[in-house]
Amino acid sequence: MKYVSKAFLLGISLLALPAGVSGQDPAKVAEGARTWAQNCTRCHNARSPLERNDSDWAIIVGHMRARANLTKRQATMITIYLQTINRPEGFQVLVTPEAPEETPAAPAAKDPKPDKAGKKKPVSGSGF
Amino acid sequence: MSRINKKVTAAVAGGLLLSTLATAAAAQDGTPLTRANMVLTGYGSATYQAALNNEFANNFTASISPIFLYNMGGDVLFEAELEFGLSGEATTTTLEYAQIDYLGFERVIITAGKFMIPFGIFGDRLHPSWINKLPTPPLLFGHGHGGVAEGSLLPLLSDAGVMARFAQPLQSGWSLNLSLYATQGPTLVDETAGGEDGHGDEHGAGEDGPASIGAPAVGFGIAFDDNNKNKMIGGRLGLVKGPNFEVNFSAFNAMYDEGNYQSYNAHAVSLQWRLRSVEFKGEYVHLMQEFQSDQTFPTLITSGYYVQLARRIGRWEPVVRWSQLLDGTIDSEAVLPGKEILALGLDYWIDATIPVKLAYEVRLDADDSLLLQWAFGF
Ligand code: HEC
Repeated sequence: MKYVSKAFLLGISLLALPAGVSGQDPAKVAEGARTWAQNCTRCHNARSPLERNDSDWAIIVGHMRARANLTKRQATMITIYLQTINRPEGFQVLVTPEAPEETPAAPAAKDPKPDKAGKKKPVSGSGF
Repeated sequence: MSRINKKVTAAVAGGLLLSTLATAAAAQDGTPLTRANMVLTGYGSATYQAALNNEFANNFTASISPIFLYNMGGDVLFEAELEFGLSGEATTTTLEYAQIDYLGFERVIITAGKFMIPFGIFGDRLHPSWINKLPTPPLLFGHGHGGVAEGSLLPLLSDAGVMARFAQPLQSGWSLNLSLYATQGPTLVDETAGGEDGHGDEHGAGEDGPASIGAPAVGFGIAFDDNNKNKMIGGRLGLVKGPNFEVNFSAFNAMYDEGNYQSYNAHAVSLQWRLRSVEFKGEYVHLMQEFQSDQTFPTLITSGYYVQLARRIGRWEPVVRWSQLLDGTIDSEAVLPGKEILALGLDYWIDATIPVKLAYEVRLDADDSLLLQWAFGF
């Protein structure tokens, strides 16, 4: 899936965010990205992370947790991921080719393909 | 809609209005319009339908379903969905769900209130018009949003009660999920009364329905004053692999008459599978309705299935769906005619939540129809 691999990229690229930009633990953001990619495109098209602010995402992920039978941990990680990627700085990382080079070891990454990130056009995060 | 259902709908609508007034007042004192613990979301659609062949007839319908999410603090979420639609000259209002979810446990979610019954997958997850890839629901399930309700096997099931939903992640992307519920259950429908808003969720009314052979019409989600002590008990078990594969088994059992001796049993199997840009969905539903006929208790068996294939090509997505209701039988003898519809569709996705759907439906027992629907999730 195109957007699924984008999700991996986003999660991985986020690891390169200087501390403070996201304010979140990069390992949790990466776990959230993976969990999002595994669970949030099964029933409907992926909704753009940019469409909601932090408090909306916290509530909507609860709504989706009940729809999709997710664990509390899965929902928490997805919320952290969405609350990180829903601002321009989060996306910026995806379109900045230099950033992934400084990526610290990405434990969550199965297939980071950092070189591809630089070639990609900015995306809305929803596969559109 | 029953009296109590109406009251609940009015209460939810009232709540929405009050919260709008409250936020409007807040806006005047310069405080922000949105509250951090509330989300107003939902979906809507506008549909044009033309019946072809014999006499050309066409009409427009529209519907909007606001969803109201309210975090009540801690791990408690209130969620409600109303549906406003058009049916002939009347505007219909339906309370799809109004439920409280407790999200505090790691692997279990507890729900109470009126909720979409997890029976099959169309009802609780595919029916919103921005998710359903065709403008109409498959023949198995009743009213479609912005689509046209046709004589179907079941209505979209929504009922009042309690539910527990379990999640169990397994190895390498697999997971199991189980949803169990106990609700008020189905009830006998007085067919002479007729749905006052034209939106009754009855199964069985109509010329070709079970009523035509003497089996009583059964209604779901309308028994807010439960007509018997028996509850509808059911569940759905799902096996999931990542975002691309899921198989579900669902079943429920209930007594539907006041005397508690006529049973209703339902089973379903659902499969969803995506391989690159191709997506397959299919469901099979099997219903057994026991009823009294003189001194005997025959069982009417009705069943049906649909299979749907869609392929995403850029923003375009052609869709094919074949729905079929098999002949209804008693003691293996056909007593009700089956029917089938072939739907051919072409969607254009303006955005992830805005499809424009063009569909042509071929029916063997009625006129073909052409549909154009514009749907949006917001
Ligand atoms: C089991 C199917 C299913 C899965 C998996 C799923 N959704 Fe949904 N989603 C729905 C349905 C159905 C709706 C429509 C709302 C309704 O019916 O209550 C929806 C609606 C939404 C909406 C619109 C706002 C709202 O709350 O209604 C957003 C945003 C959304 N989903 C995001 C997500 C995210 C993020 C995930 C991953 C955690 C996800 N979805 C996983 C079925 C699903």
